[in-house]
Parts: sequence; structure tokens; C-alpha cells
Amino acid sequence: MTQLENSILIVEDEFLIAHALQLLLEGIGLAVCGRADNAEDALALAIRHRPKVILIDARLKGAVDGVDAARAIREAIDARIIFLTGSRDPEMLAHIQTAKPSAVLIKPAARKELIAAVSAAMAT
Amino acid sequence: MLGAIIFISLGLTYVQWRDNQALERTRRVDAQLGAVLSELQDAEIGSRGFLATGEAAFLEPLQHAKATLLPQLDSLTSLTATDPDQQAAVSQLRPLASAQLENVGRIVALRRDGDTKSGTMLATLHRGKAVMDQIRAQVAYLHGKESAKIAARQVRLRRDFIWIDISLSMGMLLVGVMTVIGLRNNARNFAAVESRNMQLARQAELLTDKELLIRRANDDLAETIKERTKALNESKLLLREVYHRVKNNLQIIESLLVIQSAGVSDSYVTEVFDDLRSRIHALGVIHDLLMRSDTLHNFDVAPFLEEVARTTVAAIGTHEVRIDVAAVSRLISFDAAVPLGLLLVEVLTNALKHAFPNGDGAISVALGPGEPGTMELSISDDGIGTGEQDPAAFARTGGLGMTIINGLAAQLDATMSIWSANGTHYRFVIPSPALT
Repeated sequence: MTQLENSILIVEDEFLIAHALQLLLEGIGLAVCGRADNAEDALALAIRHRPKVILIDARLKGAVDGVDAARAIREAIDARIIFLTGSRDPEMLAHIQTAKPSAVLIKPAARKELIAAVSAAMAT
Repeated sequence: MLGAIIFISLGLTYVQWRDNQALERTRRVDAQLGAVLSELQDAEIGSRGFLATGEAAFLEPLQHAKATLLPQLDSLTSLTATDPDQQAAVSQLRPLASAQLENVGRIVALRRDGDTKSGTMLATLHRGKAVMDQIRAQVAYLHGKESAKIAARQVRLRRDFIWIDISLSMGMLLVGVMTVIGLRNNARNFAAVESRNMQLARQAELLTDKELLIRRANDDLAETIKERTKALNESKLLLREVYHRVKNNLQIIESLLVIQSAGVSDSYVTEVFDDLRSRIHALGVIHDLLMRSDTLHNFDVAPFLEEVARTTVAAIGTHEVRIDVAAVSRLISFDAAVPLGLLLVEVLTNALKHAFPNGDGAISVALGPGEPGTMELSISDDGIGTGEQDPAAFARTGGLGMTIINGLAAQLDATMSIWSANGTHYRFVIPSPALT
């Protein structure tokens, strides 16, 4: 795992998707500091690596969902949150907004959209 | 009829009352005659007693007769006022009575003078007897007439009673008949009303039964609708979950392709992986859009094409390309949506990869009614076109992309045209039934 200051933490409960995201981001020269598939590991990794961007799925393994995990991470560190969600349900989208994300991408997110969102978050 | 009988009965009752009054008057006349005769006889007998004894007590009947006889005769005159014969007889009786009282008075005077056997006394006695005989005869005459009248009036009274009885009997009979008829009518009416009431009660009972049946049927129907609605909602939920899982699996496949291609250095192989990943991604996008349909059976094609075009350009375009979509609002089926969406993705992918080597460009997508019974999909770019290559030949030999486009057009029963003029132009004429 990379431990650069301007790194990205990937929080995704699907291993293959998480791995592909990591390869995609690293393929364009971005640093991925770690991957987690649940809220507790995500919070621990975020506190340890203090990434600049958290790419997080709204649905995670375990009792705590991605939104609550993102809120907890934002209370612990200063990071940009980019959500990935497969749901277009207005209630879910409103729930996501409570974590004050910098971007929300609907799965399947296009590579171009993903890169644009991450680049924008890294630049701020 | 009843009124006539009552009128007749009242008339007969009046006649009977009138005859009864006449009979009563006749009886009073008869009684009055008897009283006059009695007074005169008592006076005569008293005078003879005084003649024989000289006692004044025998004169009392004479005094009484003098006091009452004239009023009695006046009464008789009044009672017989309506009968001229009787009036005449009474008028004859009045002087006879006066003469008799005068005779009796003379006898009394002669006795007081002591003349009891003189010729004058005898003559007076004889004259008195003669007068009394005349009075008796007159009274007998009047009595006879009154008796005849009484008999005649009794006959009339009996006749009146008979007619009254007859009219009353007829009246009662009529009342009885009418009562019987009325009762029979009432009974008939009552029976009819009773029958009608029973019919109404039966109908009400039937209605109540039917109402209960209808309510039960309604309840059953409502329960069935509720159950089926619940089942339908569950089915929709399950179907959405299936689409969601399909979309997730497509995303995992896309991720696998990304992972697999990460270690490939050959540019041709990388391009093949990228094309494949792009098509898998498009399929995932289409499933994502289909999941948003309310019915999960059909979709409004306009926002669907707009979203497919936008996400395709966003996913593949490596340069700024403008996209314009003008599609009519129309429902299409799920079966038509997948090939139509993939067809658009393939054409757009071709344009994005080959039409704009220098960067900027524009693509327009239009869907609208064509010839009757058809819809027309047009996709045009303002890029470099097919160049020297004949468009028809390009359609046949344009690589995997054109093979897929040809196949999807055939799946939609569409006729495809391609031409090159200030860019590449595709036109698909799709029979309307193929979209529904």
C-alpha cells in the first residue's frame, strides 16, 4: 500500500471492483493508500494514512453503511469524500448528502467520470 | 241509494208522527165529549137528588157544570177546528147543553119554591129528558165519528209502521249488503296488500341476500386485489433486485476486464479489452436505466436515449464532443430497449473513435415517426466520414462494431442506411411493432 500524503482510500465491499478501481487510479498515477470493505477498517485506515480523498461505496459489509462511515471519517480527518452508489433512490441520495460529499457517482461509473471526480477532489 | 232510503224513512216517520198527533187529537175530542156528557148527566142526576131530598149538596155537580161546561165546549170547538162536520156537531151541542143547564136550573128553582108536582115541573122534566136524549144522540154521533177516525188513523198508523219497517229493513238490508260488499272488498284489499307485503318482504329478503353476496364478493375481490397487488409489488421488487444484481455482475465483469488488461502491454490487445469493457459498461448503463422504469415492462424512449447517449460520450470520449438528442416521447418495450440502446452505443462508439481525429465535433441523435407504421432513428456526426470507402462496403466490412450494428438492426427488423456527406449518417427505419 502507498503511504503518500495525497493518497486515496478505497472503501468498497466488492473485492474485484475495489481492485479494478485501484488499478485504474494507479494507472493514471494516483496513489492508493489502502482498501477497506467495512466502516471500522475504513476509519482505522483513514486515521492511519490521512488520505486526501476517500472513494467510498454507500453500501458496505457490516452494520454501518458507507454514509455513516464517511461521516465518522470526516469527523476524524479532513478528507474529500466521493461516493459510489448503485442506487438512484432519492432517499438514499439525500442520505448521502448528509455526509457532504464532493461528488456522487452512480454505478457503473464511467472511467472518465471517475477520473474527473477524483482529479477535482485532489486539486482542492 | 242509502240516502234515498234514509230520506224516505224520515218522511214516513214524519207522516207517522203527524197521524199519531191526529189520533191523539181525536182521542182528546172523544174524551172531551165524554166529559161534557158526564158533566151534564151529573148535573141532571144532582138536580133530581135535590128534587127528591131538597139537600143543597146535590147541587154541587150543577155548579160545577156551569163553571166548566162552556170552557169544555170551547176546547171541543178548538179540537175539531180542522173537521167541518164535527164543528157543526159541536155547534149543535153547545145550545143543547145550555138548554139542559137551564132546565136543570129551573127544576132547582121550582123545588126551592116547593113546586114538585106541578105541570110546570113535569113539563120541565120532560123537556130536560128530551134535551138530554138529543145531547146523548149528538155525543153518540160525534163519538161514532171519532171512533171511526180513530180506527182509520190506527190503520194509517199501522200502515205507516209497516212502510217505516219496510224502508228501515231495506235500509238495514242495503247497509248490510254494502257492509258485506265493503267487508269483502276490504278483505280482498287486505289480502292483496298482505300478498304485496309478503312479495315485498321476499324481495327485500332476496335483496338482502344479494347485497350480502355482493358485499362478500366485493370483500373477496378487495382481498384478491390486495393479495395480487402485494404479489405484484413483491414481483417488481424481485425483478428490480434481479436487474440490480445483473448490473452489479456486469460491473464486476467490467472490473475483471480492467484487472486483466492491467498487465497487458500489447496495444492491440489493450484496445480489444477497452472495447469489450466499454460494451460491458454500456450494457450496465442500460440495465441501470431500465431499473428506473415504474412498470419494468416499458419505458419512455426519449429520456432513455438521452441518458444512453450522454453516458456513452462521457465514458468513451477523450475529447470534447457535443451531443444533441431529439427523441419523441414514446413507450417502448424492455425487449426493444436493450438492442436499441446497444445499437446507439455502438454507433456513438464508432463516431467517437473514428470521426473526430482532431478533437471537437458534434453528434446528433433523432428519433421520430417515419413512414406510416415505422419509427426512424437517425444518428449523424460532422466528422471525417467514411472517406474513400463506399458506405455500403463500410457497412459490410466495418469491423466488429459494424457487425454488432448490423446484428442489432436485424434484431429490431430495422432497415439500415449509411451515407457519407460532411460526416457519417446512419438511418434506421424500425417497424413500430418491433418497439412495443
